[in-house]
Amino acid sequence: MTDIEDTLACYLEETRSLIFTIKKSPDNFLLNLRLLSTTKDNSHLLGYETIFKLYKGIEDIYKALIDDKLIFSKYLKNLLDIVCDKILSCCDLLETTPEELSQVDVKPYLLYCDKAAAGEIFDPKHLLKLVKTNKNNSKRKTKANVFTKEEPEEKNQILQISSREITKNVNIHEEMIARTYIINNQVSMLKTAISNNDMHAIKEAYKLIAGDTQNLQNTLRMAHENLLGLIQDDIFLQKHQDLQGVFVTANDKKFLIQSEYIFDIICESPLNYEVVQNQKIVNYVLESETGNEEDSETEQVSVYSLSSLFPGQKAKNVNALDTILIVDYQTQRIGIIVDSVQKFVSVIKKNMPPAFRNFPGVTGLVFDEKYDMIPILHIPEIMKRFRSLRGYDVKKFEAFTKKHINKILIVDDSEITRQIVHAILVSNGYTVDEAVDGIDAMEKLKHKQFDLIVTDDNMPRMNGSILLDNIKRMENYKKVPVVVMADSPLEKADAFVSKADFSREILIKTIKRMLNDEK
Amino acid sequence: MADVEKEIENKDDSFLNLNESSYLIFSIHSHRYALKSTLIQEILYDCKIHYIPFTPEYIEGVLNCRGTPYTVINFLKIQNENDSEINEKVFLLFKRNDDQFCIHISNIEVFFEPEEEDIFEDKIKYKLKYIPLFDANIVEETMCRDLGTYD
Repeated sequence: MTDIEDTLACYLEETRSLIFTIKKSPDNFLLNLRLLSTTKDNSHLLGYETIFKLYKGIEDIYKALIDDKLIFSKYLKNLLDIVCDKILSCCDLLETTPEELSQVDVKPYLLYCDKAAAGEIFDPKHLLKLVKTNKNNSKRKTKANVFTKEEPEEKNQILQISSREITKNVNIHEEMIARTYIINNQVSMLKTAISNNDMHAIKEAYKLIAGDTQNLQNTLRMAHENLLGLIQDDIFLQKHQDLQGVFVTANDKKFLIQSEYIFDIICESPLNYEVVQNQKIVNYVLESETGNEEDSETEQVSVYSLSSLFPGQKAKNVNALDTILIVDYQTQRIGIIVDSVQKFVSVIKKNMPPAFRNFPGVTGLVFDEKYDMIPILHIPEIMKRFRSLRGYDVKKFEAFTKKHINKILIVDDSEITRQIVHAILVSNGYTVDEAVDGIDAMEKLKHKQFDLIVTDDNMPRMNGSILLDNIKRMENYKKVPVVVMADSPLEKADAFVSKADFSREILIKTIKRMLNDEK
Repeated sequence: MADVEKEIENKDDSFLNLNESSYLIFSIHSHRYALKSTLIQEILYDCKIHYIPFTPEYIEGVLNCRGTPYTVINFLKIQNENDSEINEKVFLLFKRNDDQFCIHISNIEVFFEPEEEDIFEDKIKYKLKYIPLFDANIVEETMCRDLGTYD
């Protein structure tokens, strides 16, 4: 075995062992990350960039998990599993046809890893489908290599068949199965008749078998035609896409929410909401499968009003209870308050005009009973919008409700001056910190954001003038007023209070003017 | 884009049976525009506009043209005009094979056939006045950019 072969064998063993560890316990973040880092670097050194990129993708996910930016979910586990499988298949390729490794397309895997690491909502099923398609394609390619003949690409067709059609076909097939039993029975009767040499019985059995065989053939033909009909209908269905959901209204506007996202529909009195950080929360009771009340669980679900996302006036609520749709997507569950829920419908979906092909908010249109076009809301996007709305709401709420207390830094080398100014400012409702000179002040400014600085000029280590220069160079302090309280004014200062004729009133008046806090 | 336009023009499934060399002059408030009639799919009156959420302000919604949705564009809003609300319910549907959209207009003024010397690259001469040609491609590009079609 040459050195290169030896290295490759070691590398493959190491990689497979690591993948096995990750697949066995994907939630052992620290261990997996440590192992990953070594093997990832080896992939890079050996020039296996494809595997290196996949490792990097997994590493990013683990880093995000360790930093608590992500929660380990079954979706994440599935994704890790898929990416690990891909690494294993790359290892197999290294052993058989290493020259093909660089041609392996790992972009979809990396995209999903990125999505996961960024905390985005993703569905590994789509990646899984892609993996399956790729596997099929590679199998076909292998076949093609053996027979040195390209086979036409086979499309993985999905049939959509309505349940009524399925029931009809199942009934036909059950009838055919029943007929085969009857025919079997008649064949037994025929055997008996033959052994008894009973010509009359033989003739009767023969007639029955001939009749029932004919019937079976007719039914079989009918079933076959039905099946072909369904395949033809599928072209129509693929174009129009039948879907189910509920019509809801918000701000007098009507929307469709697909039933696949709806976990439950409940009514709740607005009085029963809890409010945590300006976020309405409802205590949603998850009934147990046994129906036993004692086994039921209560889950706190954040609720949002759909009306808040759209312009217009919210409909006047004549009901004492809010209607809430409990919707699920991946691991997230929220409640959406709607003005009303209309009937559950099974409708034909129309695609949006082509310009909307990447538009995330609406997935299509359906017609209601008035033949109005109703947009289908894309729930993952709605959830995203609610999350961003929440942060904004909290800020708005805080801005309106919480009185901002201005923080002032006093910079003076005289302890007595600091104490006097400190007492004056605190008694006027300000929060005060102290610094003994410019250097001390700079340190404090780095760690805390102040709304105003009062500084002396003549100080050891760093005087007021240099401090002022430094402050005005700091991005977050460019607009923060600096009041110089010294014997003489400084050029760059925003205000000056003379120490020589210091008065409490002048200081407070100056500070209030600087903070636009004059009432 | 010119090829696409030619291809569209060559199709003979127009609902408006118009001469190839005719032009339509329409108005949106006080602005007048000209459009080659072969680029027009249809003109609809009194249609209901169905709201589509989360779209830019200039997208008023969609209208239902025999079961097919057409995006309704308010061109005045694209141009940030102050008075951009259009009360008249007249919609000019474009004949395109890359998208389905229409513009909300105020009035159809006239269909006419200009003399060859009155046709310029970006305008036509009508009754001694120059009328700019309406460029639907700009609308399409704006819409695709804002709706993330190119993402």
